[in-house]
Amino acid sequence: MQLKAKTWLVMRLTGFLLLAAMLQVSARGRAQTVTYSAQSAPLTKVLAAIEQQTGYHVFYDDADLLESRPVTVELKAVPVQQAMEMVLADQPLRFEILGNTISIARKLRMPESKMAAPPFADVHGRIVDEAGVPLAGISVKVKGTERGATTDADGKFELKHIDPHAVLVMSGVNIEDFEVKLKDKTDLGTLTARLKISSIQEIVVNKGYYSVKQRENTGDVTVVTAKTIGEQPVTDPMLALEGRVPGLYIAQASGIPGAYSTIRIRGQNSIANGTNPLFIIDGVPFPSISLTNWDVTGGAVGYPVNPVSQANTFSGGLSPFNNLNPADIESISVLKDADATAIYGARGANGVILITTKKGKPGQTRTDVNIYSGIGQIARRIIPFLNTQQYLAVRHEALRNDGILPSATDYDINGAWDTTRYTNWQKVLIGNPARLTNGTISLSGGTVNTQFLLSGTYSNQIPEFPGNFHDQKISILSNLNHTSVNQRFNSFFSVQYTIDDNNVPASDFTGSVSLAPDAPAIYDASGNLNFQNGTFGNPFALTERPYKSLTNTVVGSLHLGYNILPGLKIQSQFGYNHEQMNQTNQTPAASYYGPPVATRRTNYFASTYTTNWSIEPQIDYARTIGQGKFDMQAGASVQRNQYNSLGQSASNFSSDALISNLASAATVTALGNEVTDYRYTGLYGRVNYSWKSKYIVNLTARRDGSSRFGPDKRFGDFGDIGVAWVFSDESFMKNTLSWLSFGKLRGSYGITGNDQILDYQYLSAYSASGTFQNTSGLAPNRIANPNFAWEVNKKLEGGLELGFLNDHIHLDANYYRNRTGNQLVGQPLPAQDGFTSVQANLPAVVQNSGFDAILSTTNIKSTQFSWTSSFIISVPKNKLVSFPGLASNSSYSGTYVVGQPIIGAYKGYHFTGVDPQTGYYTYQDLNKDGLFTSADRTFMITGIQHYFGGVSNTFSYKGMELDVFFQYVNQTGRNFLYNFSEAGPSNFNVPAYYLQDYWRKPGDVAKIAKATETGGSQSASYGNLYVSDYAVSDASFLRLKTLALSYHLPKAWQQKAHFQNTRIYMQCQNLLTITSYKGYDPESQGKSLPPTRMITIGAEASF
Amino acid sequence: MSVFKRGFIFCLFFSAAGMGGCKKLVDVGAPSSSIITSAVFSNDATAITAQLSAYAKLMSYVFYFDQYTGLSSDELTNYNTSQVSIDIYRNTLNAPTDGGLNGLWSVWYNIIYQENSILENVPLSTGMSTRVKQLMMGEAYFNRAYWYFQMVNLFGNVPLVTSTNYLINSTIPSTAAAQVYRQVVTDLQAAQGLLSSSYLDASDNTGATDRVRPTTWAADALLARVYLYMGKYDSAAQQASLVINNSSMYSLVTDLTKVFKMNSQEAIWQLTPPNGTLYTYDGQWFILIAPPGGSSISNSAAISPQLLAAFEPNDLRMANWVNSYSQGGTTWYFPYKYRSTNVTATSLSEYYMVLRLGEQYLIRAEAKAQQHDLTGAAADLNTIRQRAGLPPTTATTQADLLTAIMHEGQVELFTEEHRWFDLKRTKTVDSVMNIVIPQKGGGTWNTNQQVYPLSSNDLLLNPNLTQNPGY
Repeated sequence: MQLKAKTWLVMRLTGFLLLAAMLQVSARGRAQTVTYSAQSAPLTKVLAAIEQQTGYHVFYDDADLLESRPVTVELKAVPVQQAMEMVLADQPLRFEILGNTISIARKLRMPESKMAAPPFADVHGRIVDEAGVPLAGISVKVKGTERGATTDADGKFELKHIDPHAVLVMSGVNIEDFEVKLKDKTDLGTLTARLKISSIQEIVVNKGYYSVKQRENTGDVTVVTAKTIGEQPVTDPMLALEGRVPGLYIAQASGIPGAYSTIRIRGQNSIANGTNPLFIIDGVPFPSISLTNWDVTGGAVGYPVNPVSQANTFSGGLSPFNNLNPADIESISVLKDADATAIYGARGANGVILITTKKGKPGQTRTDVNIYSGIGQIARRIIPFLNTQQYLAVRHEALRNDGILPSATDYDINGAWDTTRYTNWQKVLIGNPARLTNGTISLSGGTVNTQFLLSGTYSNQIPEFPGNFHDQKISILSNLNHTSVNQRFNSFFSVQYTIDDNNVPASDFTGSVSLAPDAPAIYDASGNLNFQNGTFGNPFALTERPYKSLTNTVVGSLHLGYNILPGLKIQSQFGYNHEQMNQTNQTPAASYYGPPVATRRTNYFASTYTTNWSIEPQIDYARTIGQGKFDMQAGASVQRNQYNSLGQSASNFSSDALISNLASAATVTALGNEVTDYRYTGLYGRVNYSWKSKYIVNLTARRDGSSRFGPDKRFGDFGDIGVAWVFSDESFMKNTLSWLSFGKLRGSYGITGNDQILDYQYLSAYSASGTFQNTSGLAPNRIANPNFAWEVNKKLEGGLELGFLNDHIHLDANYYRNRTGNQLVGQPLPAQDGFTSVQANLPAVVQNSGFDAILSTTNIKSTQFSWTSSFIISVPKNKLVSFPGLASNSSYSGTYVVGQPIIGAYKGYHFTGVDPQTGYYTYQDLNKDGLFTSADRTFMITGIQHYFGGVSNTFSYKGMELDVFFQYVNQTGRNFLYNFSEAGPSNFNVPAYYLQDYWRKPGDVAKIAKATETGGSQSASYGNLYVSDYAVSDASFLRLKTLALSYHLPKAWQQKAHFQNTRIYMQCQNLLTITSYKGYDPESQGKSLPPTRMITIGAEASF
Repeated sequence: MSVFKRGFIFCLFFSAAGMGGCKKLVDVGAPSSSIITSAVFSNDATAITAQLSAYAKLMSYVFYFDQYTGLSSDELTNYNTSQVSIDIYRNTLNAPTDGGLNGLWSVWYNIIYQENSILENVPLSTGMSTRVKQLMMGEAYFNRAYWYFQMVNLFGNVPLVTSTNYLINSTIPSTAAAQVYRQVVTDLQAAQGLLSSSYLDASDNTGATDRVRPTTWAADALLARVYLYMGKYDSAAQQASLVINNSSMYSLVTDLTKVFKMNSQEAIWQLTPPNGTLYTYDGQWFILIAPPGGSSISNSAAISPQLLAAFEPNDLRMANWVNSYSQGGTTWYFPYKYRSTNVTATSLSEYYMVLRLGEQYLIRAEAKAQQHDLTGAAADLNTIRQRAGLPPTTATTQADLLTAIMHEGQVELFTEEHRWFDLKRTKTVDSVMNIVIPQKGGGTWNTNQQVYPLSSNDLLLNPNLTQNPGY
């Protein structure tokens, strides 16, 4: 292979150079020392002694020594160089050591003689911005040397023993670099640095295996910084990205702490599997899988749809990102196009999200403390449900419509319950105050060469439910960064550790909000749960049925790098992470009606872990030839992921108190023990050429192997070409369009892959299933298919970056078209096949295309007041381009249509209104056979976003800062009819707006069908509603997602208390939602706990 | 920078780089939690366990037949608040939510897949003994026949799947019931030639005490039932006689409280409760320990007034197979054939009965009556009546005898899934349900409701599948 041969050549060269370097070190090791003492001895005598002791030859012209003075010196094992310096200290002479000869000559009469030891100066100063605010962390370097210092929190710096005529270079992330000539000054006073107005072009963008300046970036990467993440009171960092990144769609499934979210970069590429991006934390792949056990389930947060959650195809369970601490994150980079993702080869198809943790900065050791606490409620509430009177009227009407009498189980109206009671279940079940408390303390600092950071965070989130439920997290982050004095070797070591104690009810209380309003009291007179003689399925029984999980997560990474030669660097990344989750899902007898029965006490236990390690060596070479700059890279990647889960059910406990102890269960059954092993390997290379930083070409290639495919299908090749043209640097542009401060066109095309499927699908195997005749049985695992291979995603992108008016206005706009073929699917099978799916490649093509952009503007920028805005928009289009045999011979014929989107898609009936005569829902009967069959289910229903994004405005005035962020989504989704349309069945209340809209008598033109308990002979009329276009409608919304107001305390106060950066703040999340959506939240859309509207206040200080 | 440090990095780099791209790095073998299919059938011991797991699954799902057919017919009164139970009880099932009875269909087809897998893999095995191969094939044919017989009676025309190839199976249309019946007969005849005539243990050794594995006698007994349903009365009588005449193995148990005990003399094929469980699901779910109600299948149904009224005075089965629970002046009656519940059981004493001798007498009685052997029919009927402490039948004409036999089946075999099937095959379902359905609060009976709907999902996935009429 071409790449491999090249790699070897470079390595051999490197080996040779290393060897040479080592030999040189040995030579220096033979340096001689001098031991000698003299009192007013002649110089010639002293020099002779040195010559004798060291074996060096000392050459001099006798005439030069005429002016020499007697020498008084005391030398004890002093190196030659130093000995000579001391001996000649007061002489009008200079010396030079060349090889093993020492030449002595008369001093030249030049003040800046390099040969003479120059006089030293101690220099100090202070750097502030134009507003006079001290700048910390600014690098101050002596030009042409490695010597330097960093400014402290007051902006002060000090340099000792430097040349008084040196030039100092000041540089920093946020300032324009500038130089100061010392000219013998030692106190430089206060220096003013110019802040970069728009430093977008200069920002160094992390692209995973390498970094580039935004100016020369050929790919599409969006970065979200710690500031944006930090001003949102959320405990799952993914929730802080909603609406902030063009092309990234995130939707919270429910407001329950720890619940998963849908995360998609530029749509859904895969029909059935693996739509999650690849997540990398500090260079280490982070398995974005939920560890929630499928057998034991995740209580109210649900459980992953797949029995083995090994593949990244979860849509339920605890979010893995809940185990990351938002406070520890420095930045999140979202890589979107082929140019940015092709280097991740087989894992890059769905985009890549790089998470970088915070690091220590050089300077004084500092302690940062940040504490906030808040209170919340559900972001949206349904206007009241029917009151008891209204409810009972509708119930009776339903029975009259059905022509039946209340049955034995119609407790709400058959006299079993007190029909004068009224309970607002919405208020009781999900109307309690939510709480969030978060505290972070961190210690960081270091020298120019070594920096460290230690940080700890505690957070506690309490949902709106009754009972004692919470999600408590403790996170620790520690890292150490070291660079050798000669700047050639650098290492970085980081460990993150998180404990998440998640305690939620066994199911979502929101599911019970439509309980009959006349349902009995929650507690009886003696304070116990009231089951009204077994007639009342008391929702508060859930308060006794906690679902608990304890998750321990360790993410460790080590990075070692060495600059062999200028431009040539070898480095390697070592990653390890381990996540362990223990779950219980308990049902004590106290949560049941009736006398306590041992066998009814059940508890489920699950223990799941995943261990992941990776090694990624890499070699980089950069070289500048004239105006052109080459950047080359080659590397390898080896990764292994092991997953193990054990689920057990236990019952027959002698007491509720013992229910947490597996050993006290009389009956224990193993539900499942899944063990999987995933291995992955790859080789990659990159060549980048930039001419005058104006024309840039970037090529990447990767060959990957994955154990998820059959032995003959394991390896695949991927790659891309990216180009960029900074046209604003062309002279014709500069001359004509002076208001255009920056202009870049870029484009990329490449191929990435997707292997996010379950493990072992190619393997025909049996595993343990049941016991019979005291013997453990074996049953087939799956229908095996050894022939499926990579899903291939071809990405095409064009981008335009423009800066106007000295970058006060910056636009980054992209058009993309991604086509995914060779679709890897768990192809759904009709149950008659024995299994409900088989892993296969479908000859179908899914296209995601669209437009997304960020427009950032600096509207006002003065020393006192500034106002910046950004506007983010994503307009995604998704469609099935081709699917041979879809209609005739495919199990997808009922789901997809060529030319239509696949996101949330299925085929349904077309609703044609409520029949004014009968009061039933009617649908289009396409084939006019009088029946509703799959032939009539042809109307395409999707849950796609038409456009979405956010608008952010930041105002700052003196120490005050206000951030206002609106998120907007235009989409269709499941409406309230899907969740709350049925009036009539016992214990099924409906929202009050039902009353105005339902059919009552012949001739009524109504939106909702007549009340019914059973549907009678027309039950299908009601049932078909769920699979009709009437159950979906507009679910667009505009949400005041974040409102953050902060106030920096006046400097004088802070200094008195020895504080810096002290501020107090208020942060609000999901403060206001504007939508026409009926039902709970348009984002989560289900009958589930809506996201929380959280209002927090907090304080932050450094000292 | 020490020499050591440089060397360290150098070594790491090269060792890691050398690993890249190697095929071995992405080879994971089989997971420790499973065995590849060829290894399963490489020897007798593991191959047998591939069949045992099918019985374990069967045990977990077979009870639904008793419950669901009891609710659908006139045997049980429903107190269960779950929608599917209400729908089954009132015959208001609908395809989108109840189709395939909420996923049971897929469990049953999964077992059929497992039997098909055995039928395909056993002949290919080189490591299995001829004897065990033969026994396993026999059991697989038998089990497949059993499932198709159940499916066709619950759902009408069902797709007849006889291989494991999903490329073929996915589009198999609903097969005519008559063709499914033909396959059932073929499979059972094949099983008769392959099965053991003596009960097997877990290693397929003969002479086991537990009557939990199908034998030739089980194949005979099931075939007798199948022929009866098909109207082949001479064959039905013939097959039933084979079992009845084997008096050394099978006889009616006179003490009615002991009929459903483990390995009772009447048992032709039983199933053990799931491992570690001391009671059958029938016992756990039917026996009332509180007023019936709730959304769980347990403790949520009682014997219907119709069934209660069907017992003649002094019927010992009323005294021994029915029990009651009273509270607040209300009494609920419940099936008490199985007496162990999760509350009372201290040791294992009952197995779930799939096939028993009592039914064979009734099959033969009906077959004989249909063939105008009225004396023979009355004799078989009276054998059952006598055990129940009842006088001989007074019926003399063929029509009266058939009615009497049907009635006897109602009280002898209640909540053993027969009533619903008997009503349907004798075409008396409409006349009975026309009266019962309004009493159950279900509106008007529609004859289409005698078969359950198929799942809407399956209909979408297999365009060739046809929904049953009326859904």
